Amino acid sequence: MSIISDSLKKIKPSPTIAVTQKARELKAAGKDVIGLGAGEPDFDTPENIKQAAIKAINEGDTKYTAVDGTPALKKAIVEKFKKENNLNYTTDQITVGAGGKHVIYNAMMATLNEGDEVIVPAPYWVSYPDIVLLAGGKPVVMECDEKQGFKINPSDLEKFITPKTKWIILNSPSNPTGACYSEKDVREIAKVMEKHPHVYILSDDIYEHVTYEGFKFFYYCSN
Amino acid sequence: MRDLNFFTIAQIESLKERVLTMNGVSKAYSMTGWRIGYAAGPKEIIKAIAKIQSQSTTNPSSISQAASVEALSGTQDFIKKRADSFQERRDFVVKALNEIDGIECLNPDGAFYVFPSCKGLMGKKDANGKEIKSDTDFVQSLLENSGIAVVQGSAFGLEGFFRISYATSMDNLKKALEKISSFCKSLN
Repeated sequence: MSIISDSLKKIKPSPTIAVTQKARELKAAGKDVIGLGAGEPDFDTPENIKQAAIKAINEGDTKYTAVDGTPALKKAIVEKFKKENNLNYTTDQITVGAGGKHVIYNAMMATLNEGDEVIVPAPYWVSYPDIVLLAGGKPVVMECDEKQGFKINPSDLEKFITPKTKWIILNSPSNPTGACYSEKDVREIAKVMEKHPHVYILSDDIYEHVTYEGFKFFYYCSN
Repeated sequence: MRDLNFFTIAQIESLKERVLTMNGVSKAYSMTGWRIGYAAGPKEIIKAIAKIQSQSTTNPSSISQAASVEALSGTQDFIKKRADSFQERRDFVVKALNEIDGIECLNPDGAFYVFPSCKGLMGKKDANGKEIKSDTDFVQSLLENSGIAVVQGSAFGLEGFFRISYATSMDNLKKALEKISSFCKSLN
């Protein structure tokens, strides 16, 4: 009998590790390596945010908080959705976790039963399928080719929805392609989703503020 | 100007009650290490998530939460400045990639990644005589021969591509793109 659980055995080791490991070895051997693999901004956290953290430490804001977020942060998030996305929420509709990945993991753990399907459009962020697997679900990969800008073709989407589909994951702007869904794109997907009321939608908007040119968000439009 | 306002599916009223919108401060405010993400959605799911957290991690760091209040409520000047800088880098990277024979790259509207195709280089051999048969071969050979680390498309579920993150300095990007270009030229 193995000490490792069956559910963990379904998880593939990150395919990006081979390259990262190799890069580390080459660097250690003194070779000049330029890493273009990192998924994080190279800018430092802005000063006003750092100062807020220092103030929190100095004022003793260093104890347990409400399990899924302080009232102050939930309020700030409600205001963010109102101001930037024209969305009205109350604080009991908000959850705060240790990063976006944690929030997605919690959501899948909270909702998936064995065999429930989650549609994951590809190219996808590497963690989606494995989070679904860990939570006991079945990732259903839907390839979106380059000709459609790596975006979901709404008429294809229909073919991937079954009675077992519980979620579809949307991600715009996308990691890894940078593709952004316009309002028109989103409305076309929505038309398909309206026909399938048993399917929930997880919208990963983590790159919302990294958009260019005409791709502006409401915050700028309303100020 | 193109019709490309940021639009999220929860804005569609008929769907809102079954949408969970996830976001966070990591990418928007360069706060990846602070570990704060959040979501808005149906109360039933939000409550269930609180139950999981109460029996696992408990709250995210109190200090990071206080910092995130400032991130969301304080000045947003940083976002525009940074986006301008990313846009300059994206323009450079996409142009440089499309000048390479065998590489094709779309011009994306957001994030700090590009996802070029390396299909045009399949079947060629590198300086060590190793044949490039897949995106993984391409990425490994590029790293071994030119010291550039990128990630193969198959890691993201689509074969024949690779991902470049341009969240690094222009100097680094210029050096890197020169090296990628000479590497591709060296294949035959």
